[in-house]
Amino acid sequence: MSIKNQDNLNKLLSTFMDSDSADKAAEDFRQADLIFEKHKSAEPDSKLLANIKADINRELNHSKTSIIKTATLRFAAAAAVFLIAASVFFMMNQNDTQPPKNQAVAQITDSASTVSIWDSEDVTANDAQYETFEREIEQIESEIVAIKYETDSTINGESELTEIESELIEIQSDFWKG
Amino acid sequence: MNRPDELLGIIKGCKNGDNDSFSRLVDLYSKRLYGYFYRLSGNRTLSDDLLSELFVKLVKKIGSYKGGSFDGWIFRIASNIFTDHLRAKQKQKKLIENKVLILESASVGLKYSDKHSLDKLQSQLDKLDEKTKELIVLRFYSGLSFKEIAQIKKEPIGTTLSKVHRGIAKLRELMVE
Repeated sequence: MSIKNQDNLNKLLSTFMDSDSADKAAEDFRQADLIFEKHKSAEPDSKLLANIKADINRELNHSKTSIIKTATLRFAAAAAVFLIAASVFFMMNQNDTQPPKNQAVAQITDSASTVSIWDSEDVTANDAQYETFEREIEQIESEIVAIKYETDSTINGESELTEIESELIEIQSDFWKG
Repeated sequence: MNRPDELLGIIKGCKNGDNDSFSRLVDLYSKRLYGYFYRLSGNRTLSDDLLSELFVKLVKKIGSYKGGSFDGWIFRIASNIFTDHLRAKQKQKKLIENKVLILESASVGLKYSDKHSLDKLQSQLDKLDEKTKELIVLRFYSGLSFKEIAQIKKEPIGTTLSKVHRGIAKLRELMVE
């Protein structure tokens, strides 16, 4: 094996040394090269080279398989996100067909206004009417709470959707980080 | 055949994941890289392992070669692999030294060279310090210029030149003893 270094050794040495020292150093380098030429190193045997080539082949196949797996899983993840988004979109459109919340409130207030109360001087009758009045107020309260809850749950529904999407993105990015 | 053009074709094939191109790269570089590992370690089994490790790493790293001296690039990887090996060896040695009981078998296992099959050059190289030995071996087996070796070692070219010269002057003395 003969390897030629790409230096102009004499020129390089003369930039760092005086002329005599550079000549002596150049001779040292030449002699060292001769020593290495004379004492050959051990060489890789054919079995080792065959094993290395087999390892490379295995590594290349593994890389190709990984690329296919990666592409498949990316597609599956994207499809899952799309399906969830489509489902949520569909559900939200269905909710839009229900009557608006202010209409429901109007219905409640209408029903409440139909109840006539406190139009008698009779104390016993007034007590009974008072109880009826209290029940009516409680009913209106509970219906308003129910409407409010329904509105809140819609807002929560949106935030839950956002959370699901965030989790999916997180899972996806964690997956690719390996 | 024009060697630089041939090499460029092989590298391009390797980057495209072509198995035959990698085989040709192995044929082209295995002797010099093996010589480098063997002269540093004096151990055939270790040289086998390091050469295998290098080429398998190359499959993943070839994409990061962006031009310039390919010899410089591949021998830089070889140098890093050997440095990693030395660090692991030092760590292993320290672990054993920290134990009160040093098993005879363990200390034998840490010895580097195939003592029975060492030639004179290997014996004398082993008398040099690791860094000087690596510079001398790298220069001979890589065929790199001093400028490229200095770049690999991240030091001024004058420092590299001076270290190698001192090393080979010492080696010449040892070889005539």
